Amino acid sequence: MRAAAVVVVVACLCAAVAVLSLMWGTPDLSAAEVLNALLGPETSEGNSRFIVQNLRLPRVIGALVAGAMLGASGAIMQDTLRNPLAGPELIGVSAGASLAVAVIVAFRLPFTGIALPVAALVAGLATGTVILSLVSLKGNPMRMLLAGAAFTALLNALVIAVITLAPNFGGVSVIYRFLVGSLSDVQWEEIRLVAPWTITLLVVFILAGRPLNILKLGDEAAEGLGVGVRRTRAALFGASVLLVAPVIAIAGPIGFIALVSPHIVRRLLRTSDARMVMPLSAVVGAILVLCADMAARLALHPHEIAVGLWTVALGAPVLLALMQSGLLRRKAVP
Amino acid sequence: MTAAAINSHHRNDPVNPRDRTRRILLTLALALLCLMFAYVMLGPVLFGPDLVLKALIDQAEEAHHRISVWEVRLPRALIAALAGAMLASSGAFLQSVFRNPLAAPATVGVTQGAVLGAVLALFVSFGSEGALDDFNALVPLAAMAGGLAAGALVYVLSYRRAGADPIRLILTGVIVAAAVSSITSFLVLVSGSHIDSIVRWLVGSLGGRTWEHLFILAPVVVLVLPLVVMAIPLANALQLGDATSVNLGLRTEMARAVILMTAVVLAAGSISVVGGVAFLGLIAPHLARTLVGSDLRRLLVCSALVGAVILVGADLLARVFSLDWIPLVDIRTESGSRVPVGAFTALVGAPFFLYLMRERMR
Repeated sequence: MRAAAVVVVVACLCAAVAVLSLMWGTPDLSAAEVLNALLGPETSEGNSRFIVQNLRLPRVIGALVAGAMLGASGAIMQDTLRNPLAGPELIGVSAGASLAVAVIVAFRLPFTGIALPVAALVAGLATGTVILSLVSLKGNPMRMLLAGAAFTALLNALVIAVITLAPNFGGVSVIYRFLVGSLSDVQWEEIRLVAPWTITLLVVFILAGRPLNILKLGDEAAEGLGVGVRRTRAALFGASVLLVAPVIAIAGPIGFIALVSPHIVRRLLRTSDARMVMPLSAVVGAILVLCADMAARLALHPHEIAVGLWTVALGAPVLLALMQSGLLRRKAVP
Repeated sequence: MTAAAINSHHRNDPVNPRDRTRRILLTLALALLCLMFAYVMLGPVLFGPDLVLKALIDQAEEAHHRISVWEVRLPRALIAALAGAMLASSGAFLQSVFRNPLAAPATVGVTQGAVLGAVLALFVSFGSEGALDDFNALVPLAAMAGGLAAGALVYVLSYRRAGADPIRLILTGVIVAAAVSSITSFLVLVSGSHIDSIVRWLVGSLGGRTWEHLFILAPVVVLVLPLVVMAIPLANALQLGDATSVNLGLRTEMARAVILMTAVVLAAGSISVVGGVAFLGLIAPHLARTLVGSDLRRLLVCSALVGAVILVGADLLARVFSLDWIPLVDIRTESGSRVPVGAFTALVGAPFFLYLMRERMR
C-alpha cells in the first residue's frame, strides 16, 4: 500500500503547487480569486481574470506538460540505456534538438506549427544516435555522460554562434531560451502546439512498461523471453526523445528534471518497476518544473531568471552526489 | 613571447635534435609571422606590405598609418597570438595530466570559473563605469581567481583516496562548469542593460583590445614561465601512468597539483583578456600531438604555436567577414560590430570535434 500512498501524496502536492503558481505573482491573488477568475461568470473583476486566464494559466500548463514529459522521458531513458545517470539533457539529445529550434527561429526558416517539434525530434534523434554510437552501453556509465557533456558543449557553442550571427539577434533572453530553457514565451498558442503530443505520453505509459522491465533483466534474459533487444531498445529510445522534442520546441532544453525525477520516485516507492516509476516520474517532474518556474518568476523579481538556470544550479549538486554515491559502483564495469 | 622562449630552449636541447620536429616548428612559426603580418595589413583600410613595414620602423609618411598599425592592429595581433598560445598550452598540460583526449580548460571548469570571476568584476564596477570597453584592471585578476577557485573545486570534489580518476575528474569538471555558468547567467540576466556586450565577451572577442591588455598578459607570462618549466618533466613522468610514475619516485598528487595550477594560470590569463574562446584549448594540443608526438617539451611548444596560429587566423577571418570593402560577405551583427572570434572558432572547431570523438571515445 506504500505505492498507493505515494501516488496520492504526490498527486495532491502537484495540484497544490499548481494552485500556488496561479496565486503567486504580481499581484498576489487569493485562492478564492483564482477560482473565481477560472470558473466565475464573465463579468467578474476583469483584471485578475485576464491575469489568471491569459498569463498564468498557459504558463502553469506549459510547466506541467514540460515537467511530465521530461520526467517520463528520463525514466524511460535510464532503463533503456541501463545507465542511472542518463537523461536527454545529459547525453546531448536536448542540445541537438535545441540547436535545430534555434536555427529555425533565428533565421526565420519556414518551419512553423507542428514542424518545429518535428524538427526538434529529428535533430534530437540524430544527436542521440551519434552519441550512442560513440560509447558502449556496457562500459562505465560516466563515459556516456562525458561524451554527452562534451557534445552538449559543442552544440551550445553552435547555438551561441547561430544566435550571434542571426540577422535578428534578439538579445540575451533568446540565448537563454535555447541554451538552458525558459517558460517565459509560453502562451496559449504554444500550449495548443504541444497538446496533441501529450497523448504520446499516455501511449508510452501503456506500452513501454513491460519492455522496460524486461530490458532491465539483462540482454540475455530478454532475448530468452523472446524480446528483440536491439529493436526494443531503439524503439524505447525513440519514444524518450519523442517526449522531449515538443518541450524543447516551446521552452528549450530544461535540464536535470529528467535525471532527478526517476531517482526521487524510485526512492519513494522503493521499487524500480517501470510501470510505476514512469508515470510517477512524470508527476514529480511536473512538480519540480512548477517550483523552478515559480523561482524563475518570483525569486529575483522584477528580473526573470530562466527556469533552466534554476534547474541546473540546483540539479548539478544532485548529479555530483549521485556520482559520489554507490549507485554507479554496481554497474561500473570498466 | 612564451612560444619563442621555449622554442629556443628546446632547440638547444641536445637530447632531441630531431630535424623533423625542428622543421615543423619553424614552419609553424613562419606561418604565424605571415598571418600576423596579414593581420596588420587588413582593416577598414587595406595597407600594402611596404606601408606596414614603413609604419613598423617608424618611417610612415602619414601619422595615421603609424597610429593604426602601432596602436590598433599590432597590439591586437600580438594579443591574439599570445592568448591563443596560452590557452593551447593550458590544454596541452591538461590533456597530458588527465590522459584524456577531452580534457581542456572548458571541460575542467577553468574557463567557466574565469568567466564568472570576470563577469563578477564587471558587475561590481558597472555602477560607476558604464561601457564594457572601458577597461577595468579588476577583470583579469578576478578571472584568475575565479579560474583557480573552479579548478581547485573540481579537483577536490573528484579526489578519492586512490587519487583523482581521470574520467571522474572531467565529468565533475563538466558538472561544476554547468553550475558555475548558471551563476554567471544569473548575474548577466540581473545586470540588464549591458548584457549584449557581456554575451559577446562570453563567446570570446578581440574587439577593442590594445597595449593595455597586452601589459596585463605580460606579468602573467613572467609568473607562469617558471611553473611551466617545472611542470614539463612532471607531466612527462605522469604520462607513463600512475603506477610507473610512482615507481620512478614521483609524488603523483603533488605533480598533478603543480601541473593543474600551471594550466589554470595559463588559461585564466588568456580568458581574462580575450574571453572564453571555444574549442581552442581542446583542438590545438591534438593537432600538435599528431605533428610532434606526446613528449611534453616538443608538444607544448608546438601547441602554443598552433594555438597562436588558430586564434590569429580565426580573428583574421572574423575581420574579413566584417569589412566594408568586401561587399559579398557582410554578416555583421545587428549593432554593426564585428562577429566575435569565438563564433568562428566554434564553427571551425565543431567538425574537428566530431572527428575526435569518433576516434578517441571508442
